[in-house]
Amino acid sequence: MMVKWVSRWAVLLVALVGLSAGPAAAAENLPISAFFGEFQGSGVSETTDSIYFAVTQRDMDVTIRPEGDGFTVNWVTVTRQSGDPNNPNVKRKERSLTFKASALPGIFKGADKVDPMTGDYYWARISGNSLFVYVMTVGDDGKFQVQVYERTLSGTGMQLRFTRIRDGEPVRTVDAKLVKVAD
Amino acid sequence: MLRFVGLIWLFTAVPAHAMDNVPVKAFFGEYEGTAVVTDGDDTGERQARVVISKHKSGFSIEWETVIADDSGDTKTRSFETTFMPDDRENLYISLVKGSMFEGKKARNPLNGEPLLWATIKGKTLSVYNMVVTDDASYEISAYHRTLTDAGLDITFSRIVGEVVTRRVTGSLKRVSD
Repeated sequence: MMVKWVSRWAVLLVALVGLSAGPAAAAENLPISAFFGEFQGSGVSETTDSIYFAVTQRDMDVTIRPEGDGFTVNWVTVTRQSGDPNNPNVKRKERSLTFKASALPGIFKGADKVDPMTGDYYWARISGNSLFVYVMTVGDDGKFQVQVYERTLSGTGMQLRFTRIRDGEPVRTVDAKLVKVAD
Repeated sequence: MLRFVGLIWLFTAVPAHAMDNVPVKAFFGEYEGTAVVTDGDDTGERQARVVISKHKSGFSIEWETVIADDSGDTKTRSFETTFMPDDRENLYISLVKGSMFEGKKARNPLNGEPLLWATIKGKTLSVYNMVVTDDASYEISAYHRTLTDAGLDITFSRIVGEVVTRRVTGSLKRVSD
């Protein structure tokens, strides 16, 4: 009887510990090294900028490598969103940004000193399994644009959610799935 | 033929004229009125006061909001900043206090320095305030003030990520130049 009572309490205790440990573990931020590797995949882009190319498909390649106390992220995007909708032009874009560790864990500053009023001001943060990269620009007309790249690690690779916000309104979103092809 | 030319002039000249940006001095004055929260955690009216005045080659802007709760107690929020013209037309950048560069020094939002700038489009003076939050996300407050015959129509929105978390609109009367 006593053994049964103790074992029931033990099960309950384990369950409670499990319940309390779960969210705490999930809330922990991954180290930047967890994101290192090369990822390839494709996604769907939605925009309010074009009526003919409102929804398009794109291929992408992302490489995240250590750089000093921070990291470099390089990404290549192949888009088909201009020209004849039946035979769209293929365009390749490549971009690379380097980040340095800041005084705060999981927060990285752009390696280039940029005046946010004249150039692309960028920074990054890690939240849980996600690496967020922000690129902010103020245009000549004073309107702002923020691009947010949210890269979340998943079982086989990475999920990307990209949003371009212009003057407070999202004008493009991209949802993509990428597979890790190299460490 | 003249009619045809006149028609072309009408269609080309009117939109261009309508897009003219008023000079910043058109906004100088003191304004008072009521604003209403249309989106946000709290709702209700608040009294608003805005003073826009000349500062060297730029301008200063001071705004104050008085919010009364159900018991009649009031809470006042105020803010003041100064903008200097940028090299780009119709763009103004907030002064860095105590800086000899007066607005020329780049701010670094990641170090907790808010980034403030202003622009004029047509009859609207827009002021933006961008901050990087403690968790390294960002928040932008946008204040649009449009000249009317009576004073100013105002719209405020707070944008967190891609979501507008707060919107306040109102009409203010010009009470002095």
